[in-house]
Amino acid sequence: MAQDKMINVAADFSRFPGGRYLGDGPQSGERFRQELLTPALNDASIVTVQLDGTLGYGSSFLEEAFGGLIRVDGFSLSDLKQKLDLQSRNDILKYTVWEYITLAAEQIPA
Amino acid sequence: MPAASPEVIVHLSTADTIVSAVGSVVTWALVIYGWRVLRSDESKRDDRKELRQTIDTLIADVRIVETKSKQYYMTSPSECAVLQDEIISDQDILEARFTHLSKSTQRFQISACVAKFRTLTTGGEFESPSRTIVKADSRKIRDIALAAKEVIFSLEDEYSDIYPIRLTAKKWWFFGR
Repeated sequence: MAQDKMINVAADFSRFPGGRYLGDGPQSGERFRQELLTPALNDASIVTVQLDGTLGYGSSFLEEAFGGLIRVDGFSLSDLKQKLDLQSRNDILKYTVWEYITLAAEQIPA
Repeated sequence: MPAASPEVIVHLSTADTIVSAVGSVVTWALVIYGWRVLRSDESKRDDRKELRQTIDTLIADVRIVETKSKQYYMTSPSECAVLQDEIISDQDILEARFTHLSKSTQRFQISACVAKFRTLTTGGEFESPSRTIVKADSRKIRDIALAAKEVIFSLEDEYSDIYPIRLTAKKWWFFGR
């Protein structure tokens, strides 16, 4: 049975995440998704992402990292609702990430 | 006038004592009631003042992020690495304060509005080295200003909902003239 997995962005990726694409820098949302988020979601039943501890996030990073799960990696909204658990003391940050995921799902042709 | 009998005098004296005791209790009750009313009013004034100060701080924070974001998009990507980090950090602090406000008051449910502001200030080409520099009268700059204004209006609307402005009859008369 697949185990739960925890990703702490500050500890496991960068305290200064930023940029959308790989070409925008080494701490981009695309790299975070490709190297950490997507493999974890493929392997684990529940993936908890701890967002606190960084300098902050640009929306470009968040949109590419989380919206890209649907747009690029083919996850569905219901998959992510079951498997992805976001943790942060900033409720608006969590709300924003789910907004990007939902928006990406809405833009996928049926 | 006939003299009162000793029994009548005793009765009158007892009645006097009772009236005096009741009067004393009533006086104290009124004093305590008045004190509690004053305390309650004072506490409400303090709550109102504290909330106003919190909102004023948040508005100032929104204005700071708005100003820095406008400056960022109007400046070359190679010249604003520090500004970029400041915007990200300020936005995070701003949202943490919003979260605290909505949790502690169980009101100010304006996440959608703040998220829109975040998307406009740090979405799209934010942090991209190939970002296009925009002019002060561009759509991007105006959208940021509009989103900031919407956040501020949402705060003010909720505040005036909690503490509506009460005009006394005298003030109404003044405004009517």
